[in-house]
Amino acid sequence: MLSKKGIVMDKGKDWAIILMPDGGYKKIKTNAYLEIGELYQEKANLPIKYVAAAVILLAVVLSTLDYFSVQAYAEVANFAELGINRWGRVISVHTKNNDGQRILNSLDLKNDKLELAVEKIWTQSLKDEARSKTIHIPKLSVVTANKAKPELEEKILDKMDRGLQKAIKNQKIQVKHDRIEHDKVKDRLNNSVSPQEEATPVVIPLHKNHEIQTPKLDPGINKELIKENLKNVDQNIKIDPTIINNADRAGPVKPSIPDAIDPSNPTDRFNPDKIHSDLESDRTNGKDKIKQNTVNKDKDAAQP
Amino acid sequence: MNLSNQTEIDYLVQAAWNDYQSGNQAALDKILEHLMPFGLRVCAKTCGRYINKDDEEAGVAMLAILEALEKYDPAQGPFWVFSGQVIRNRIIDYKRKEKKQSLLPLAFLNRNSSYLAEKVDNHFFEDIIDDLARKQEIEKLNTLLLDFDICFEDLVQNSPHQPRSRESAQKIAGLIVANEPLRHYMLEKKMLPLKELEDKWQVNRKIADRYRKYIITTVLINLNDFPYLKSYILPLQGGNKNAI
Repeated sequence: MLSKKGIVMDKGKDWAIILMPDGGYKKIKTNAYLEIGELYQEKANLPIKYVAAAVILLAVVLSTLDYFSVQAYAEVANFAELGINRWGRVISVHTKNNDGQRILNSLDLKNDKLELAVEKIWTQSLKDEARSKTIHIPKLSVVTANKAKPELEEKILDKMDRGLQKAIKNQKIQVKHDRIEHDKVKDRLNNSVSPQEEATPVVIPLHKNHEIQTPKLDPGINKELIKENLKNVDQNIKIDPTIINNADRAGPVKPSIPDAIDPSNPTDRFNPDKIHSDLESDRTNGKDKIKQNTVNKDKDAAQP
Repeated sequence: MNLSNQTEIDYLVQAAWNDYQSGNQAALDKILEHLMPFGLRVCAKTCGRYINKDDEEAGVAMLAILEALEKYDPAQGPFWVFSGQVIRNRIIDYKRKEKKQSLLPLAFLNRNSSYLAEKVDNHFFEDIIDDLARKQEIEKLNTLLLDFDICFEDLVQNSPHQPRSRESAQKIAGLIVANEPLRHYMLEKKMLPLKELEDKWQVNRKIADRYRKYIITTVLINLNDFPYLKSYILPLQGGNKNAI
């Protein structure tokens, strides 16, 4: 880099006036020993400027590239796939179905923090589900670009979980509010609609390890007793093939859990003795029916 | 003495040396006062600091000049190179002696002895002579500017910073230098002929007034014999009035 040489026109203790080659006069601060008439060579500091500018530009470009590079994909609510960058920001949003597209169209998730994005998606999703009276079970899954970083996956899952918890919390407040409004309307109309008939959404909260909490049974039910009874039933039942055929024709049987079981009660339908007697009676009834059918067939054949 | 012309120095030195050789002892004293600025500048460059006439180094330089005049032989080349080398060697010897007598630590001596041992070529003294010639020009210009109540500080503040403005101001200065009436008016009245420049030459009065001090300085540099400074001012004598 070329540097300009000027003439020292005047000087002081820590300054000098330089006549530059372009005819301009310039005052500089310097502690160097300068004499009037001496040539002063201006230090070429342009390369440093260029280097600094290049470094800054490079840093900006690299950070931009890094910002827009997806480090992990997070699947939210079974329909949204969010691309996450190094700083936990949402870079890309993809969806799998039309419903998901509809929900995502109403949201601006780009550059949002993952936690906030998950919260937004779930808030919107739960609102829609509340309207349609259907509940989707939330599923959280993450695929990281670098498999050697399980901690990143765990971190993202934590953020998603936090976002989901917030969404659930917000939705619960809204549900409560909706219910109050509904109650007010009911009171005004003096209508006696049972609470079971209301269309209230059910919110299934998740706990930390991302497993769905199963609804707890009534503590009044003796679970051990149920299991034992069921085992006895399995051992004692000898199923007649005709019953199975009849059962197939009748269609699938919906199992129902009894409210309470008393093994000592001979009328209880889960009592083995009762079950055995029932099966015996069914078998005899079946044989009678078969006999009746054969007799009827013979009669039909005898008739011309 | 104007040191801008080296042949002139050589001529004066040659004449003084001839006088001295012919027995005129006062010839050296006459030339000594002309050579002292050069000797002081060599001293300053060698020591790396400003040397005034009262410093001990100045006395050493004076003795070195006298020694050079006595020992100079025209066959050895230009006098200023020979005398400059003698002054430099004597200053280095003086510094070494001074350090030996002082109680400075050895590391300091080693550190500072490097520049003293450096050998210098002819350019070293050539640059010093050029510096001295430029200094003479600057001092003369400063004297001329005092009549116009201008100092170099004013030039820093009032000179155009943009290349286009600077070019315009230099063209106005060239116009004044090229035209006798304008030049005469400026030197006589100690001000720019703004009205005439505006009426006759369609010069932008705003530029001429704003950069008045810069234009006057440029005119003075062009009018006087300042070859070193002139090379830093664009030669715009006889500028085109339509281009301004």
